[in-house]
Amino acid sequence: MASEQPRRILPLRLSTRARIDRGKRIYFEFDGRSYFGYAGDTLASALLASGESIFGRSFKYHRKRGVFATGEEEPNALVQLLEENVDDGRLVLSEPNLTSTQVLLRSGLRARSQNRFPSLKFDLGAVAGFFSPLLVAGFYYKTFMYPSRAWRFYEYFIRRAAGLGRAPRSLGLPPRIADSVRRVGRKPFYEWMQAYPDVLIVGGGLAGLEAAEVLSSVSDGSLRVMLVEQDSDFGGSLLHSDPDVKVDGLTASAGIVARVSRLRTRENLHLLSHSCVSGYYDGNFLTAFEHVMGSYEDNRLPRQRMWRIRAKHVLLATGASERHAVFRNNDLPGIMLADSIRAYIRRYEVLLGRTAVIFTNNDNGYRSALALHEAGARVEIVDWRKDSGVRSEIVMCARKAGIVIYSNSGVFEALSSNGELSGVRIAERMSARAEAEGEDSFRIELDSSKVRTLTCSLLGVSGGFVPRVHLFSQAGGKLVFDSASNCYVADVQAASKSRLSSNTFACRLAGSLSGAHDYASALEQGRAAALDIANHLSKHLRPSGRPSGIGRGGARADTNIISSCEEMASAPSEPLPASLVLGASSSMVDGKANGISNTGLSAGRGKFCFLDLQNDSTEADVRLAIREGYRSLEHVKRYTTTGMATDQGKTSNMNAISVASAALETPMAELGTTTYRPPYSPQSFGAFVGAHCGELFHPVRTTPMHAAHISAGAYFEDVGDWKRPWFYPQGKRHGLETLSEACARESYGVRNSVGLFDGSTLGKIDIRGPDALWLLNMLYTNSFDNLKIGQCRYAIMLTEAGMIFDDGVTARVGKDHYYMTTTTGGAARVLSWIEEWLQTEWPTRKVYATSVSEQWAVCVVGGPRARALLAELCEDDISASALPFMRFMDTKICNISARIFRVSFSGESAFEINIPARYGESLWHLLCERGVDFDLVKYGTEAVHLLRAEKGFLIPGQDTDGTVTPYDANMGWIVDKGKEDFFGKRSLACAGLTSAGRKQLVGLLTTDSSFTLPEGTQLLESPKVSKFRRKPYTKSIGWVSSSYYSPNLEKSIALALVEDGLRRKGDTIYALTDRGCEAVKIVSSVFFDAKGERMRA
Amino acid sequence: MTAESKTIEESGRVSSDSLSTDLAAGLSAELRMQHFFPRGEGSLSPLVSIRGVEPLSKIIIRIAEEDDAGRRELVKFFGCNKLPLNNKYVASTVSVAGVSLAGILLWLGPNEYMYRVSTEDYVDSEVSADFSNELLAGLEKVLVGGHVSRHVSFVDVSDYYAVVRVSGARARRVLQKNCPLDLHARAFVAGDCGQSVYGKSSILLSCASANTFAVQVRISMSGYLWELLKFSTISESC
Repeated sequence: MASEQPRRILPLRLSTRARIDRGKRIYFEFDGRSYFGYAGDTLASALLASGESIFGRSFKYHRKRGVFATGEEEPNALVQLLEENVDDGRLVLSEPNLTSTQVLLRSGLRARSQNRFPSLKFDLGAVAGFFSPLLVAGFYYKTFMYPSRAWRFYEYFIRRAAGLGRAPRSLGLPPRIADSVRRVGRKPFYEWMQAYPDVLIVGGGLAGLEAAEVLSSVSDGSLRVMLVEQDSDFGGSLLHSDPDVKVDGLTASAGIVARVSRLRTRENLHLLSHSCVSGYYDGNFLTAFEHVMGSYEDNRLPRQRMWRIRAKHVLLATGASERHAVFRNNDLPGIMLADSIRAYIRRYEVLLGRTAVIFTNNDNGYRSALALHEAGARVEIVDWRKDSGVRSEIVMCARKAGIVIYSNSGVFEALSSNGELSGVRIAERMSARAEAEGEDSFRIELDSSKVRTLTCSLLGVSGGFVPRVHLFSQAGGKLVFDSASNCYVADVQAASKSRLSSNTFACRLAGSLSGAHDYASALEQGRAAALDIANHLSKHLRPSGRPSGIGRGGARADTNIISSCEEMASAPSEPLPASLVLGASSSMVDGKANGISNTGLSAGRGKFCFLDLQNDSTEADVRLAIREGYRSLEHVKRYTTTGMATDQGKTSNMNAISVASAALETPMAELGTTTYRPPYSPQSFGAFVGAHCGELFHPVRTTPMHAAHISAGAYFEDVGDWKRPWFYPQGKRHGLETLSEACARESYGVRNSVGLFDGSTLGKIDIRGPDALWLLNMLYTNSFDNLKIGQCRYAIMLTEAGMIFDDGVTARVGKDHYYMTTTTGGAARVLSWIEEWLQTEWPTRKVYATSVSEQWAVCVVGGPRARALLAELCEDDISASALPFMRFMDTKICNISARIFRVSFSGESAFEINIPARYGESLWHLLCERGVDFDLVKYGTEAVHLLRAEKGFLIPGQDTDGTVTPYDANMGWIVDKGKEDFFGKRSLACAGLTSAGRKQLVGLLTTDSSFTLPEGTQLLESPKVSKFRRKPYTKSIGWVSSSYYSPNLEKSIALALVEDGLRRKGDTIYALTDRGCEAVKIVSSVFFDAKGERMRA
Repeated sequence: MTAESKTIEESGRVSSDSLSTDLAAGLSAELRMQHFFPRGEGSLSPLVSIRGVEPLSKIIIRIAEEDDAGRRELVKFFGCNKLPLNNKYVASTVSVAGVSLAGILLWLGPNEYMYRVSTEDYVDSEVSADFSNELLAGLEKVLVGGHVSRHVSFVDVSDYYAVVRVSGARARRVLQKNCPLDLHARAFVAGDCGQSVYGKSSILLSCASANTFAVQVRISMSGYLWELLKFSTISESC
């Protein structure tokens, strides 16, 4: 028997026809080959049924790997999907790293395996297996450290070797607002949805379904309940339960379907399947990712929908995962979790092997054996437990069925032929006496004199069950070691005292997550938890439905829903040792010489005893890490990358802890676990992004005149979220004007005829109340006491630290009524600043501030001929005497009320016309038309900046950086020291703000008047510059904050912040530019019309 | 009422002809109203409708919580039974300058309310943009007239915000996709309002009936809101 080579027999579809619809063939493609499956299949089950056994290559050693599990726990069978680009029909990569056990079969599905070159069957990377002695834990850290400069060389190869799938290519053009209609039915998309259930139930197994049933019916359905299930079908382990399990008198699967369809009719219950709850965040905020059914067939549906769920109460019924065992070659294709073998038989109707061995430490493994037996396979059972013969009914069933049982035994090695499973070697456990000599429980070993070889093509392993505590732990729940199941479980008692059960946010557990071992107790737990939650909600919270009082009235009376008490996933088990090894033979025994286990590479032990199948980390790796001094599990995890693959070690983490515990000779209970973080399983970036991509990435704010700017061919500048016209390039002989050409023409027009500018983005705040004047005096440095109705005043605001923070013109429009303008970027900031002070410090002050920024469209008309142009349109007299500088007037333009401010940012005689936004575009057009006779030019932000720089007007944020006081900006005149108080007054008197050496705002002129300094240029005291890399020998004494070529002055001008600049006018300093050190002269910051005669005209 | 030209479309919105063609035809000394939303149906699904409605007269009113006399004046002026409470709005009928208009008074904060003319009435009565000015003048008269330094404020924001009406069987779903308010049919009912965001634009949302909502947004972000709403209807057609 030992020498017999197993004949590889194709798996086959069983003739049972319960769940897989044989009437409907679905054709698909894998690695370029065509296959078919049936409705109800996953990609994995269809491929298995078609005889495929190799699904991928392992990450490090490129060993062949097959399907290991069902669902999200699968570490091996990852695939990348391929899709057609909607624009040109080319086949491009789409989603990578999907577990084929979760990909539902659909017609036209194209997938390929990952991490292999050139093919699955022949993979060049497998050569890594020969070098495996080198590829130990920390290989990269150890190898690629030296010489440090070679990293760039290494990196190229490491990056290529790293990762599994490839990043997807675009499946089409990015979404564009303009043609969002066109993309319907074309490009795949994602979206978000919010939900606010009173109770969120995670997990649609028996416990979850029962809780949903109860919660949705209590108190006449006043609770809003949501049930989210990861699988495409509800039912959990009932989906592959044995035929004797009845639900509501029907077979389990039919009973569940009937139940679910009944639940679907409940208006207050939201059932969501094929959706993974992946994150549990603060305040009962959870995220779920719904794989939308039918989205590949109908592009009007999103591929995925991210649910952002804020629940009052959460019930976790997430079930348990089966655990692997650690023995040599435990990664071979053909080795699977025992319960998964049963799932493939019962749910997918695929028999995965004709000769099978089940290695188990619990009763559940026998169910898999019986299912295999029933399906016609030859099965043998290796039971770790000593007294399995008398244990239970199920063992008796197995015996009755004639299945050979090797009890008190373990598998210590899997044998391979051609990289696939051909048999296992088992041995009996050491006798009790020998074990006692082993002194501690870490050294349970197998007796080398009682070894046996079993031939098989399929090995089902059940190392016990680990509750899926991920979400519970993410929520802040504590875990506690349970020695009976040899793993960490939720510490429900601690949780009940902690914030997890506080009045506001609460979380409870049910089902095998909380230790239910059979269906009856899962059912009972689901119901009890539901009633508990209902009572809790009625006591502490108002359900978000209109409440009608919650009682137990709605709870179902009958308890005979489940007619079999079959043990389910979390069957009690006897713990396996950290790893299964043969004892006695000297080379394999743990040496005790120095207190550290003498295992690892030298003995060859643990080398191919895999823990993490996807990242290829082995028992030897963990032991090596511990020999090298790692003690914390978090460190061991990162050093060995155990549990860091896409499956996050769902089937392997407990084994890794167990191995570390053995190597450290510390009980598992003292080691703790690594941290569970979201997401529970990998999610697509697309779903996180939702609609917020392409042109919907961020709002673009436009002014009422935007369409006019577009039709005038404007180039736009992004100012915060705003699109502002930057310049309006005109056609010339060859193409369009450049920025500087357009700016020169526009600024020339403003200085010599009349310019029109869109000033609508300025912040505008209506301030009203008996304390309005007081407020303005606090906000601004200058006094508003003597401002009369109809007058305007320019003012600056400081922070408490005395630094310039915003500026603008404020007008008095009534007795206690002011109209404040702010910078574009400061609009929201200034309003919040005012509100914050009014609400927190001065709640008794009688003043209200209301934003009116976008109520008004603003046309700025400036230049020598501006008044003449406006006089044509205005009903009232706007002559210099009627509307002098720094006044405003309420008037009508074309019968529409407007307010005209006689202020100036350009230094010309300018009028800012405020008109209700709905007329903005029309007024703009009107001004353009009428302006033709006045040589009107439209000018953009670039010209605005140039014009104001000529006048030395600063822009907060460009010429200030949060360290500039009004004195630094040469604006001491605007500070009214006589005022009782204003923001920053006290700080302005601080020594640090008055001492020498502060950077001050000055003008700069270049020696070469045609050379424009780049903004940001550093300024130096001396021109000495090192020849090497042009490093200056002296430190920087300032920088250029604004710089332009001024066509009006026919020279370049700049504003700069220079140390003690105001005292140094006339000095020459140096600017470090790309073409060397340029001598520049410090001058006044006002370059044009210093007396302001033009502005006041 | 001014002489500005308006036509009443069957869609119930005030519209102007294309500005550019109008102006090209000759200088017209008239200012025309512009629209901040595309005309017509914005939804891509038959199960939901998205219509821009604009511009409506809107006034933000601030009045101290303890100013009982002033609040009584407000109630009288707006023809409602009482001022709305937290995140609610009440119906209102105002008569100024011989025009009587139905509207709503929305709660924005403890001392802050917004009055907004209802769409239907606005169109039917052909009231001019100056209605807002009439409202302001009326408020000035009742609130400030006799109390020179009363602590109140009322500001015209008619053009600051635009309103989109979202209605139909899937309206709640479309809104719930990008708005983090609880919009469940039991939680957000007729008469409820709330300030929130839709995607990344701040909105004032109100519920007129089980399947009808008004979304108010700053006009500068109306393009973004319109397109995001439209995008969100794609998956609601089946």
